[in-house]
Amino acid sequence: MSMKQSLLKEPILEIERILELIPQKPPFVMVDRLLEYTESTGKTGFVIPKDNILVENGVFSEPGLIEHMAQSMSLWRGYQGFLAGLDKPKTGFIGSIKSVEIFELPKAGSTLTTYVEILQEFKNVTSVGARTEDESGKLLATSEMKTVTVD
Amino acid sequence: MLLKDFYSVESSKEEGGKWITHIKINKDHQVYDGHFPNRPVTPGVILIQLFKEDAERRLEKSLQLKNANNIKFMAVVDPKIHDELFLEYHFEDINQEIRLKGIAKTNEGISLKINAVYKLI
Repeated sequence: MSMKQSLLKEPILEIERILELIPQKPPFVMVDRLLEYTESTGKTGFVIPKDNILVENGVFSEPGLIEHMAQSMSLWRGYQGFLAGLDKPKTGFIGSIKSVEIFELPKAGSTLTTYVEILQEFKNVTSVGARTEDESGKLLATSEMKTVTVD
Repeated sequence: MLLKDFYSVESSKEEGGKWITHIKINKDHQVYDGHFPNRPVTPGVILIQLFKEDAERRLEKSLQLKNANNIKFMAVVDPKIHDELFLEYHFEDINQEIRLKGIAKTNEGISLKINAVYKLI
């Protein structure tokens, strides 16, 4: 069996289930689906609501894209916790951003697809790389950040 | 302002080649309902945005974040404890790109260090 084979039988598309897997709650939810999960990678998505708190003038802002990448990592970790039997996700936030590049801001209403890769885990700090594409596969943003988990 | 009613600018001055802007956070803002329930933490991405918006006011131009490196969140900004922030930064315009370097402080110390490059839009 390939290491990269998804451990998800089927994508998680119900927002109620997503909200059980991430510590963030409305109005600060920037990810809405888990498409693939492996021990070290994840694929997530987000349909940007037009009334999202980080949309301005019909465009998803830079904080929105960065938060989406961070919450994609949160979702990966939440599913990892779910597999380990945790009944709720741990609180986690961004500890540092080693690098982030924003190529283009997506319009509200569009669908983001994000690939996260766990680079390193040490105690409660996780290093993660992320890249986000639009529907056509155009690269919108990349980042490498460290997230910190607390109880 | 991206987040409506999230903060007010109490003062802003240039001193010794850097800008110092005093910001008061609205600790009752709805963003804290979700980040996180019963545990308000100012989202790091919102702190980053403060610098862009302040530089936009200085320049009277719109900016878009292009890239950033080594942004460090040194201490959590819990609005119930720290609703006053001080941005200290300087920037230069190099070939139509704004290069900004700065820190955000509460009265207890540094919360954030940032290096960012913006394009004029």
